[in-house]
Amino acid sequence: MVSTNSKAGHRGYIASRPVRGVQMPQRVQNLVVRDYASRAGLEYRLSAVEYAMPACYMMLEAVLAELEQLDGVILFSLYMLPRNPSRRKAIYQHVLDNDASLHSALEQTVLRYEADVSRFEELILLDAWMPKAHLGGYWHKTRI
Amino acid sequence: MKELFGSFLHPDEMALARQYMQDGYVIRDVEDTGSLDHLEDIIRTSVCSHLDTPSSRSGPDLLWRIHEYVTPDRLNDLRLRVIHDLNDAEHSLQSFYKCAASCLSTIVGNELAAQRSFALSIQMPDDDSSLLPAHSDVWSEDSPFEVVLWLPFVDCTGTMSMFLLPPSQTAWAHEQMVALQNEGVESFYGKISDLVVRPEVRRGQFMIFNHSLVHGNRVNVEGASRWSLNGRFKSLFSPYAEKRLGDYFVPITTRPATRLGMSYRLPDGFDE
Repeated sequence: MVSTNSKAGHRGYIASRPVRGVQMPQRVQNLVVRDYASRAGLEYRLSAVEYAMPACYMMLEAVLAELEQLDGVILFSLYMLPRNPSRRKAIYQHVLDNDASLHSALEQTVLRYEADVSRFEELILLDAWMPKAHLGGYWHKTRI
Repeated sequence: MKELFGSFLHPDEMALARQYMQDGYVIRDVEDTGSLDHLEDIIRTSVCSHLDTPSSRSGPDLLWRIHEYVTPDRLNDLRLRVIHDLNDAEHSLQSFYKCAASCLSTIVGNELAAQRSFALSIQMPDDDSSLLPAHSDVWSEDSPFEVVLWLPFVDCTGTMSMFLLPPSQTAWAHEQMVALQNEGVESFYGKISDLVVRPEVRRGQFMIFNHSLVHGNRVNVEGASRWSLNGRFKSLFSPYAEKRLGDYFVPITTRPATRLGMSYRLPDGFDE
């Protein structure tokens, strides 16, 4: 299925720095994003690649500036969003104000409406608290 | 203070916990039969659609006689279609959870993460294309803090069921595995085959088992096809392994105190 409105599909957004501690090859990230787009019937637009510098979101800002012309954005993972909650909320609002959608390919989650924000935020907040959980929230089984 | 940790559990919960610790599994009646029926409706509708058979012509024995309609080489297409329809359907994960909600609460906890997309197993008689060799899920991507909910849609007896090595044999089995490290997994199964159990689980029942234990399945020689769903549950804040929260597990019963606690910020801006 291809979008029928005047907007030009969904822009992918992939990382150059680790996501939740894992450095994923960009080719693999793109496979995940394209597979998600295909399954969800979304028109995929070539991914923007975020810079490697910590806390840098210049490519994401560029994609968000495009939203008037896009149906939405497909993040490789919602854990690529800024750690700062107010900055995330501004992103959600910008997406909603542009009648667009924000997809997270790895977590298969989508934000289309105000009510969807809590699902994104719950996953992000739980992950942020996980290091304080039992065993740091991770059961190590492999010694590298 | 005399009470020990865990002693505040209800006696029924204590009995369930003891049984799970001792046997590595528990079998109980489905707690919400409407949820079981909902899942079976989705499966049957999907099967009928895939086979181009009107649902009115499919009898109650459609599932356990599926081998009369589908050849082994077409089985995976059917399985993928049905699992797609199950995971695509409204409230299917919720129905799966409701089949065993209170038992999961006793064994795992009341604030849970669930496997986002549960799995479907179809094992036709004499078909060796869908077998799982002896394994523990913890030997790959899972953490030992998870349990598996196993929900059959037909009566599963004998080789229609899975095999499970009892907890009392685990240490011995690990030694055997190390001793057989230069041989294949079939040699390992040969060592343990006399010790495994095959829990009988009827339609209308579920099993929760410890996936750390060695388990798997063999060729079904019972003359009927097995249909079962399985999915993992864990305590939301217990350790994860490679199957992580977000991409594999999703929070399903996050409590208000947790939501509020995670968002709380102390008053800020004081000067020394």
